[in-house]
Parts: sequence; C-alpha cells; structure tokens
Amino acid sequence: MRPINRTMLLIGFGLIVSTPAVAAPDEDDLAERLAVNTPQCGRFEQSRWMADLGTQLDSRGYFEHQQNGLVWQTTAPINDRVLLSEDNDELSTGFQVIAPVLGGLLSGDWQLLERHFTIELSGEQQRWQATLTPNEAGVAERLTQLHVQGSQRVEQVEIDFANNDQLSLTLTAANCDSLEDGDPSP
Amino acid sequence: MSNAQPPNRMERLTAFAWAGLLLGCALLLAGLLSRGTPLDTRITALLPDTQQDALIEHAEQRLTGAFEYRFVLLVRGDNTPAQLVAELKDHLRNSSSVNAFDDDLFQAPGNDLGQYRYRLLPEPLANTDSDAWVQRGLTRLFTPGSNADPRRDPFGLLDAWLEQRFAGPLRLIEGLPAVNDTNGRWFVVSGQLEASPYDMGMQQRLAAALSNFRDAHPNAELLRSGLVFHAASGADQAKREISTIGLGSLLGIGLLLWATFRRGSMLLSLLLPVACGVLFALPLTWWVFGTLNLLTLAFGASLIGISVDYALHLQCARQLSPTLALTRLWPGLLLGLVSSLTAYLAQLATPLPGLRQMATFAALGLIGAWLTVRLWLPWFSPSPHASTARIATQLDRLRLPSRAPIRWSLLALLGILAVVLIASRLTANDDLRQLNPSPDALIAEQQRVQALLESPTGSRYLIVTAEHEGELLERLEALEPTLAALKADGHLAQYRHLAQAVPSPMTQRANLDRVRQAYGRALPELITRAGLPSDLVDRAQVPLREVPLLTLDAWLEMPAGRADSSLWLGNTVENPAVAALVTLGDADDVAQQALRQLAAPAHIVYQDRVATLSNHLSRLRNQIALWLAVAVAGLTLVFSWRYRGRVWRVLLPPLGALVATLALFSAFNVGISLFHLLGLLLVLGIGLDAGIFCTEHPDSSAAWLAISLSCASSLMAFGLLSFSATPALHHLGLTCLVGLAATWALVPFARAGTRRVCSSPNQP
Repeated sequence: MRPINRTMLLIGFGLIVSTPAVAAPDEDDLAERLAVNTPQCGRFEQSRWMADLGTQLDSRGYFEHQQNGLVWQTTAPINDRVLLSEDNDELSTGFQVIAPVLGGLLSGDWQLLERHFTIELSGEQQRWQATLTPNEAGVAERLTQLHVQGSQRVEQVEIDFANNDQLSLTLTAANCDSLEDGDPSP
Repeated sequence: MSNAQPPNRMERLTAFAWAGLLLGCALLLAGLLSRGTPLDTRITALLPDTQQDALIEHAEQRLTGAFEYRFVLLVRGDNTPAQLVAELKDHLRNSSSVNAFDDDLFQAPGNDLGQYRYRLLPEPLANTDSDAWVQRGLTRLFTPGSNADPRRDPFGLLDAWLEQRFAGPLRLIEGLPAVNDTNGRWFVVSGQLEASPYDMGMQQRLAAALSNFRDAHPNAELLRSGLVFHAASGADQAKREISTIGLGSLLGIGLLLWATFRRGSMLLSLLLPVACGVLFALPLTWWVFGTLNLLTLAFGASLIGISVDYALHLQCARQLSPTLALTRLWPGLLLGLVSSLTAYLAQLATPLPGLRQMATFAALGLIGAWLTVRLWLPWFSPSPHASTARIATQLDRLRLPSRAPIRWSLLALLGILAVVLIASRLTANDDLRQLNPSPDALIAEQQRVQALLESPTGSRYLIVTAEHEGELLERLEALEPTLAALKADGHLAQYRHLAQAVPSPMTQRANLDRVRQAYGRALPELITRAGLPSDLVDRAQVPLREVPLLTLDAWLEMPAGRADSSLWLGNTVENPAVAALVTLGDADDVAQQALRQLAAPAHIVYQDRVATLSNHLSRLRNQIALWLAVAVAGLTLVFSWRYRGRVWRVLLPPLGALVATLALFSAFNVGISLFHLLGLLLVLGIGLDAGIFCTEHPDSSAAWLAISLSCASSLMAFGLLSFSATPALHHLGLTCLVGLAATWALVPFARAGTRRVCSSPNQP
C-alpha cells in the first residue's frame, strides 16, 4: 500500500470516528443520556399564552418525581399543588391524555415519547432540538406539536395546543431538599 | 333360528312398511344434515317461554340484545400495551368472529355536552363555597396541560360533570382503555360478535384466535367475559360428554350383553331396535322442532337405552324357553311401552321447550324400538349359547325363600324409616345455578371482569314508567339517594340509570340558577388573582344567558350516549307513555329488600331474573311431581284391573325405588330439583317394566335375566350421567343410579312365593 493511500485511509477513519461528536444527535444515545441525567427534582418557569384572550399567564414553582407521579407545585402567583399522574382521579379526562406526554418529558423517558410521537431530532448532541408530532388521535385532538430542546437533559418545552394556546416551560435541576427554600428566579 | 315362524302376509306387509318408513327417516336425516341445521347448545332452552308483561318483555329484549353479542377481554403481558392490544385485535379480526370493536365507547362525551355544561352541575361542586370555586379556577389555569378555557368555562364545569358522572374504573392509558387491579393494569378489548354467541362455527374461530394469541404471547394474561365463552364451554362439555359418557355406556352395555349371550348375531338383534329407535326419533324431532338441543341428544340417547328392554325380554324368553308362544309376550311388552310412554309423555305437558323436545325424542325412540321388536325380531332368533342358560339359572337362585320373615320385616322397617325420612327431611332445590353448566373457573373469570369494569350483571333491574320524559327523569332522580347509599355501604355493586346522564328539566333549571350565582360571587376574584383582563368578567357570563336544555333524545344521539340506549324503553303501546330501565349489579339481601321497597309505587317494577326463573323452576318441579302422582295413580288403576290381587308385585319395584331414592336424598340433605324428578320419571318407567314382567312371568328365569340385564344396562346408560359436569345431568344420573339399583333389589321381593303358583316356562 502506498503512503498516500494509507494517509487518506487514516483521515477517512478519523472522520468516521469523529462524526458523532459533531453531527446530528443519535436517538439511542440521547435516550440513555436523558435517563441518566434527568433530575429527580427541579424548578420550572411556565408561560401560558391564551390565544382566545390574547393574554399570557406566567407562573413558577418546582416539581418532584415521586413514586405515584409527578408533584407540580406552583409557588407564584398562586400557591397550588397537583399530582400529575394517569391514575389521579381528580384530574380531568382531557388531562389524562396529556399526562404521559408530560411524564415522559420530565422524567426523560424518551422510549415512552417515541411510542406516542413521531420525533424529528436536529442540532448537535450537546445542543439538540426535537419536534414531536402526536401519533394518536386522542393526543392530536389536544395538541398539535411539541418543541423540546436541551443538552444533558430536557431544558425547554413548548407545546402548541389545538386551540392555538401555547405553553412554554423552562426547567432547571434543583436539590430536592432545598426546593421550598426561597425563590431562585431573578 | 329355532322358533322363527314364517310371517304371514299381513306381518310381512307391516314389516316392509316399517322398513320404508325408516328409509324415509334416513333420507330426512341426510337432508337435515346436508342443510347444516345448527345444533342448539343453550341450556336455557330448557327454560319456559314465560308469559310476561309486555313492558318486562320489552326490557328483557333490550337487555338480551345489549348483552348477548358483547364480549370483553382484559389483557396484560410483557409487551408494550399498544402492541399487545393491536395483536390481540388482529387475531380476532382475522378470525372474522368479531363484527366491531367498541373503540368509541370510551371516548368522553366532552365536545357534545359543551353547550349544556351550565345546566349540568355535579353535587360536590354545587355544595362548595366560592373560595373553592376560585381555587378550582386557579388550579386549572396554572396546571400544565389542563384545558383551561377561562372565557367559556373558567371553573371547569364540564370536567367536573364528566369526572362525577363518567368516572368509571376505565381510564385511558397511552390512548388505550384500561382498568387497574391490585396486581397492575389490564387493557380492555371489547366489541360485538359477528354471529350469534351460539353459532358453533363462530365459537370455534374465536377460540382458535384466542389460542393463537396465547401461543404467540405465552406470558400474557387474558380474562374473558361474555355469553359466547359460556356457550362455547357448554357446547364443548356436551360434546365431550356425549363422546365419553355415551361411548362408555355403549361399551359397557355391549360387554354385558356379550358376556351373557356370546353371540354376535344376538347382540345385533338387541342393538337393532335401539338403532332403529334413534333413526326414527332423531330426524323427526329435529324436523318438528326445527333445531336440536345437544342436551336432548345427551339425555335422549341414553333414554333410548330403555328400548333395549323390549328386545331383551323377547330374546331372553326365546333363548331360555324356545317353545314359548310369542303371543304370551306381547301383552307385557305393550304394557311396558304404554307405561314408559305415560311417564315420558307427561313431560310434553310442561312449558319447557327443551324438555318437550327430550320427551318427544324419547317417546319416538321408544315407539321406534318397540315397533322394530314387534315387527322384525320375530323373524330373527339366533341359536342360544349354553352359557346364557347357565347364567340365568345362577341368577334365578337369587330369590327369596318361601318363608323369609326377617327379610320382609327388614324391608318393612326400611320402608317405614324411608317414609319418616322423606316426611321429615325432604327439601327442594330450585337454585338456578343447576342450569348453568359453565365451569366455576369461567364463572369466576366473568365475575372478575364484571367487578373490575363495574358493569351490571343484567340479572336484576328496575323499570320506571311515567307520563312524560320530565316526570320519568324526576322519578329516576328520586331513586338516586337510596341507590347511592346502598352502593356506598357496599350492599349494591353498581347501578346505572338515565338521570345520571340527563338531569330532569327541573334539576337542570336549578343547576343553571346555582351556576349563575356562583359566577357572580367567584368570577371577579378568580380574574383578579390570576391577573386576567377584567373585561373577562362580563364575557365569561355571556354563555350563561341562553343555555339549551339537555334532552334524552339529544343525549342518546351523541356517540357517548349510545351506550345508554339499552336503558331507554321509550314509548310503549300502553299507557303510561315512557319507560326506562335501571340496571343493577350484584345486590345482597339488604339491597334486595331495599329494592323491593323502592318498587312499592305502581310506576316502579323490580325484576329479579334469577328469582323469577327459580320461581318458574319451582312451579315446574311441582307440576312434574303432580304429573308423577297422577301417572302412578292412573297406572295403579290399570294394573289393578289386569292383575287384581297381584298388583302390589307390579308396583313394588317402581314405587319402592322412588321411596328409597327420595329417602336417600333426604338422609344426605340433597335438595330435590327438577332434574331429580325427571330421573325419578325414568326410574318409574324402568321399574314398571320390571314389575310388569315379573308379574306376567313370575317364575320365569328368562324374565328375571331380562330384568337384571335391563337394570344393569340402564344403570350404565343413566348412572354414568352422574359423572356429568353439567349439574342437571348429574342430578338425573344420580337419581337413576340409586333408583335403578333399588328397583333391581326389590324385584326378588316382587317375585317372592311365586314358584309354585306358576309353572316355570324354562323348565321342561
């Protein structure tokens, strides 16, 4: 083999090996990363755009994964605590449809999301974005698309509802013991 | 053929005529078989065509229509739910046993009810203060994913109504209907069958589809509920029993006869009448009734075992006393046929279609067998085998000595004891479950599914009538507190009525007033605290100005309301104008008492199908008992006329056997059911044959051999039914087992002291 060819081969091999580090993220890898890095507790900032009223409602608080579901505690502007779970009878039937979606997003369960949505992944592995389109009529009746972005975990979620409402969530990891201590937002 | 006399012209003509008739029957049978006329496997075909109130009949039709074609499967396993459910549905769809899956059934009626929501106010929300209303509104606004609609429904009235009224155990998990139990989650696959649940072809396709699914998913668990599974299990059981019990008894009888006669031609001459009896009875019964119940076959085929009696008496007599003139045998044979026919034809008088079919089958079979014996067998007399006479002689030693005071005293004592037992302890049993041949495991499976889904059992219900829709709904609402309390206290498993979905116009008016007041108090605070635009206070109250009234028609036309259409009986030809059903789940004694009290007013009827049917069974049992008594009395008269002082000899075996059987059941606390009585009818028939022949031919060892063979073969034919898993047949078999053994044991008493009275025809 001539040296030039060997060099080209080495360059080619190097390209192949280094490709995942710079190209579009791999779904299996992302699923694994999310499963490992998703925090048990975190804080959220929520903006709800109500198209019908032309009004935006902002709120913030914290969430905590528990065995029986996800506790969603709003701290401002009101104080309100809800257990987000498919099995929570107090939630509306409409919400029961959305529950697995939120559950999948906040717990980093990418496999669960893949069952309900057609997912288009883009960006880089360290800074990825995904567009999720629902597969099931029951879900599609409520929401048209989800836009999710993050790195080691889900950081930003935007939900487009069928009635033109929008919900935007910004998520940050937090220590479960200090959730109720003060308000970290500026 | 030792004494086969050449037939005269008349005899030859009738024999050929009989052959022609049988040929016709064979052609009819071939026609019926080729047409594929279905076999009926319903055990309930035994139940009476009851003359019911038109309204109750209408209700029954509604319920039957709603329940018969439905099936529900619960599944769970290792695969993802969507995959598991999809594959199960694929298997079912490919088997073409399912007409439609009810995928719409679990859809919430949300959108359709939207415009009516301000008139639909669930009790808990109606009773809370305005702070709770404000909090409810705020939660909805700030919970991610909740469908808050501050302009049309700031307090989530529609969701509150749906939660309260449609909060069944079903929930949508990953878009699939599911229920939870203590060990996890079941996914529901339900729908309507393609054909009647009694269609055996469809049953087989469905069973094969489920079995394929199980093979493909060995770790998956599956629970079944639906009439079709019970019908299939009943059909399987009946088929299995026909092949095992039927074959077993045929084999046993064959061996017994072979051991006695040792001649193939003899066996043939004994079985020929039975075969002709079946050939005569089967196509005619099938043709007359248009269908044939499998139970008729199981019961009727054994019944024809009696028909072997006629051939036995004829051939035993000819084997053991070749010089005996056949004319001496005919009166006894004819009396035997008449007495058996009397016992069975009594069943024709019952209102049970299934029983009438059995009686027709048995009567035709007996007539066919008798005609074959009378018309054909005289020409056909195989030469005797030495062992037959030896067996007869040995058997003849089993007779009472001329003076046997101890045995007679013992018999009298037993008789008195039996009568005392019967008088003091005999009970009846009209439990409807004796008609249910389903295995306990399948019943438990069905009950588990019903309990998980909280579905009504369909076995009891209330009918409420009224002049008009508004009054009907008010009357249904008036039942609500009692029913809700019974359910809350665990007396009543569940209930369902139309007013749960459609409040009465009066209630809807009151609800709207309360909603308007609550808006007035809570809406401004909600809007201020949430930071919503203040003009929303007015805009959100606009929809409250004109709210349409939710009517039954509107509700029943919505996809979610269609499931309730089985509750609506609508207008009937009679007054009162409208009627509706309240379906009920399992109810304990407290609930049943309360339900009867609820039904005190004339506009409410409480119908307990199990109790009603049990009542029918009880009336039927009494009727048959009466028929039995009438038959015995009538036959006693006939026999007294023919036998005078010897009449007790005729009656001792059959009546003694009846008393012995009833006494044994009394001693062991076995409640007498309809089917025990039917067994007693058989015992009476066979016992009468035995009594008649031991009186007609008192000292004949041939008659005693024939009686013994008849009892033994009938024991094999009927006694084996006591191993049947179908409770009805088991009762029948057990009765025959005891009764026939007693009949045989009593014959020596009936023959006692006759050796010198009559000459023995078999002793030269």
